[in-house]
Amino acid sequence: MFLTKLAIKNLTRHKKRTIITALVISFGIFIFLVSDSLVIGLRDISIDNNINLETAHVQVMEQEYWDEREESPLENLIKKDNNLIQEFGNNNSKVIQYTSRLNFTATINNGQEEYPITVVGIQPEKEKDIFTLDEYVFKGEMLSPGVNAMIGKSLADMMGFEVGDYVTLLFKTKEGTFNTIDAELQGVLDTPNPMINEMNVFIPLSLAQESLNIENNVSKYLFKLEDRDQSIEMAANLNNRFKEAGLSIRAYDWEQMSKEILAMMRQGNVENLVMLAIIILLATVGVINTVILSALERLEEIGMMKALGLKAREIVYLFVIESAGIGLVGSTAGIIFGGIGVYLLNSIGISVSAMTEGTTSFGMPIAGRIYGGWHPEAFIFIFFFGIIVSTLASILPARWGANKDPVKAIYHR
Amino acid sequence: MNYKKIAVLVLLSVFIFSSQALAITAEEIIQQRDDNEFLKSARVESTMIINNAGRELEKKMVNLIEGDKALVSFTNPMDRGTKFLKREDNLWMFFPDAEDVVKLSGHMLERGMMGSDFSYKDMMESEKLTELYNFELVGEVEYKGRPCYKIEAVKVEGAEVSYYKRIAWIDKERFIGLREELYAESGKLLKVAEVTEVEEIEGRWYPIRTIMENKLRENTSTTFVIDSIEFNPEIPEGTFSLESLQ
Amino acid sequence: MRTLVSIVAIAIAVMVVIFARGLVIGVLNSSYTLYVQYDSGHIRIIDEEYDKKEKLLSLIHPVDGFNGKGAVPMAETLEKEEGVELAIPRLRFGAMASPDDEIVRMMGWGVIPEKERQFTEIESKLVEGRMVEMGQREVVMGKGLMNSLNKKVGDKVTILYKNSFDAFKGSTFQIVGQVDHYLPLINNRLFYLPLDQAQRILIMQDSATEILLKTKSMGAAEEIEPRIESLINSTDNRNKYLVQTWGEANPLLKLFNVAEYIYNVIYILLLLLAAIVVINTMVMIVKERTQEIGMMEALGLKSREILTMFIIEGTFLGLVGSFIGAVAGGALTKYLSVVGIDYTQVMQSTIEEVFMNPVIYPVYNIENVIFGFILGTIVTALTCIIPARRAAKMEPHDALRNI
Repeated sequence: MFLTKLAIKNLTRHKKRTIITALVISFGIFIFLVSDSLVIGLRDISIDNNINLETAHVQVMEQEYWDEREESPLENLIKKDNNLIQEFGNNNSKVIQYTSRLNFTATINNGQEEYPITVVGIQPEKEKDIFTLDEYVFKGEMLSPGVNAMIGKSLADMMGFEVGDYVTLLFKTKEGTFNTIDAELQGVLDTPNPMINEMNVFIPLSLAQESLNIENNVSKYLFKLEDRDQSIEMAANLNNRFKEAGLSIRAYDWEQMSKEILAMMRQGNVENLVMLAIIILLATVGVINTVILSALERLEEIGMMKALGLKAREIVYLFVIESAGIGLVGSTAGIIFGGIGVYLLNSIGISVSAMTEGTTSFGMPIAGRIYGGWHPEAFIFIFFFGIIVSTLASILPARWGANKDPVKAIYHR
Repeated sequence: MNYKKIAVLVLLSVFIFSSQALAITAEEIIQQRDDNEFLKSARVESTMIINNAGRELEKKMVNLIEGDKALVSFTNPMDRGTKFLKREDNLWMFFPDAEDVVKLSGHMLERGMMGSDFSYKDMMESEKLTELYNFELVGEVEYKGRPCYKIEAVKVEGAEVSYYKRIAWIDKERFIGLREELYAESGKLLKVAEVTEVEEIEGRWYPIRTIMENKLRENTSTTFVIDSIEFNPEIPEGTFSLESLQ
Repeated sequence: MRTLVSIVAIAIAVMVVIFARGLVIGVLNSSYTLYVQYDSGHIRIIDEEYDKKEKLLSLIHPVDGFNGKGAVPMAETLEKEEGVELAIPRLRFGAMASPDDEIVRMMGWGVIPEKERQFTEIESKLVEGRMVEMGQREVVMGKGLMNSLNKKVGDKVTILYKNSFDAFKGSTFQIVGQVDHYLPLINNRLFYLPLDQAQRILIMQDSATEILLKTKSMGAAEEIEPRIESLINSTDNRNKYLVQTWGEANPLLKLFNVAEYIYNVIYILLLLLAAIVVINTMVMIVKERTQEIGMMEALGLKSREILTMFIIEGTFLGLVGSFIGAVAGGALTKYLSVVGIDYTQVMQSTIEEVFMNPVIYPVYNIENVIFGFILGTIVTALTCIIPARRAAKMEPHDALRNI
């Protein structure tokens, strides 16, 4: 205890040294937190875009439909008025809203060319609370009931459609009979999701069902929950209920449906690790230097302490505690500065519009500003990590310093 | 005798007899047309001219037909050596540049045959029209100077056919189709087949030149011309086998 | 001892700075390189109508050369242009195979084998057999694709496709090689065949779907592009070609611009961090020698002379430390630039549209090394000045008081 007090006193005595070394640590922590925040920010935005435009939090569909979902087949559909699902959707407090969709393949035709697309039958009133499609209506307005359609900007440009034009969709009903829909183009979407912009045509669900002769069937149900972290549990929960009821439908969470984004995130994690390694290295160098140089500076002190009867081990302990103290100061300052930096990132963001044109790509924003994200775990982690690194880095140089011969040390002067 | 009963009987009999004596039913018209046009056994040499938004291609083929089997061999320079074999509901293809025979299945059949507006599937569902559609004779009209029956056919509920509704103009005297309109379930006109040339061969009238127009795409059509027909030809044993494809 | 400590600190800081830069550039380069090799080249030449139809792998808007005289001659002409290292024509088309009633969708690339060899490292990815040869009816497929088709090298495969006249056709080829590539596109979807064979079966004589140009670097591409564009438009009077830089050809690459920006910001922060480490070290040392300064003053040395001495010492330390750091950093970067850091376990991508290289090759760049060296020296020298000045200004007896 005496040693600890002594260590603290030493730190206050050599304020400058303490502060500068702590500065190294805190700056390193600051960098870590800021870059982590940026990576998280980017990741959050892409995940959010994905959830808010494409997957929602949880989807329910027939198992066999899930396997073939890329083809949007008309087999293995669910009944629209499935009791279990409806009861769950209406009564569960964690569910903010749910809806159903009917997907099918078709070609869109402008009288001269045709292009294969996927038609998505939606319920606009419910979709408002689940998806953010309405925020990306570039021209015209959001879909409303009637023989109306909404398509993506890329598709509209390619086929030369303007709001108010009639788009012809050609497809086959469940029985293989050709059918067409001549829908009025109500709105053009420009979303961060290129697939939606190029390949999707949105029409009202009832129109889709009528045209396909599939009354009362849908491809899937989609749920929006309070918090996306509840998705996995919710899906598992639903699956248990489905299995108990002997149904072949299953629930899938958004992570299962977002492979691209998760793949890109993995790359972000790797870079974080590399960053961390570099910072550790520099911080360690800083701490080791401090300990060695302070040991050199305090050779007399060490000599005197030994003369007074302190053992080498206790001297090492002293130095290590001092370094831990520096680490504590550095970590604290680091997370405070880091916190300020991340807060600024969150509210103001970094402007990147200068170097990019166009809107977005793969759900990541590249126009305007990039914002950071909150990642409290990073703060906690790096706080303790900073202290630990300082402590560990000091051990060897402390032992080196503590073993210096006191006589030689004093004589050196 | 109950006067009412007699009256009903008389009315009934008049009704029955008169309908029998008067009209030919829609089904019968279609049946006759199909009998005329349906080839039980034939050797046909034909040309298909494909017009795709202005680009024109010509294909020539020789078609051997027997019942529900058909062997189509292409003879124009670009496609020479390519053959199709149809047996009941199966379709195989042979390409000269390939070393084995390819079986077409599932949605490969949906593709347009050689880039034309006739899909392979259309080619397959030729015979059973009367089972798949409900026919109605809607009138007798003149079409291109010929007296015709105008028949509307709407698909039987649940039938797995491509076109929801078909309207056909059938020559009253010759019992061949002169025009057919193909509709989607929404009522939209998808395709129109028009016969521009007919010929009498061995007592049967036959459509020689047919143009199938894609109404959804400008300037897109396929013209089918019969260069020669031989009814009931000598077809060697084993023609409709996979081996003969290679 | 003090000297040793400070030199080591400076050396490590400089080494880290150099390596970090190489690493960052390496990561970006790896990804860019993949897109350049397998997607857009440094500069891409296509028919302007092809841009919209690219997803469909349309064959009706090909590059058929200058005024229709052939894609290969056009490529050869372009290759003679200054700044163009390679001109690579490719003929890409959709195809499928149907083993056992299942449909396996594929993409065919008609290529000139020699060009591909020079442009991409495709040959190094051959695990069995060899690359295709012009004029031969052969293909090379990815491992994943061969698995789905249940074929091995030496087998024949019948490929179904639509030729440029939209006619459904089939051709049989022999598989002469197998590649194992970390890009899912190449492993699971792609098959290579000789350009002339692709042209033959698709009935596209002398055409390709695109011509890619390789330039010295990404930056060089932007410089050369206007010249190429005017050359093409003046030679071919049909005005139908679109000349794009890699950034214009692939919008996803804009994402990497953002990444680059962020990395640069972080790099600067790292520089600061390294500088602080050096400053930390130097400040402590100078502070420690306050007594010496006092003694020197007492002995009659003037402030300015003392200051100069410290600056020289500092600069000397900086030079030595930076030199060692530069050599170490350069060597590490150079070594890893050849060997690479293997992140395969962590970074496997299964998505075809996203190209990621799981092995990172830091870029060895002499300018980077020199920059690190100079920076280290300057920072060290500067950090000596301030505390030295302060110490030199002190009265001798204050300085000596520390004894």
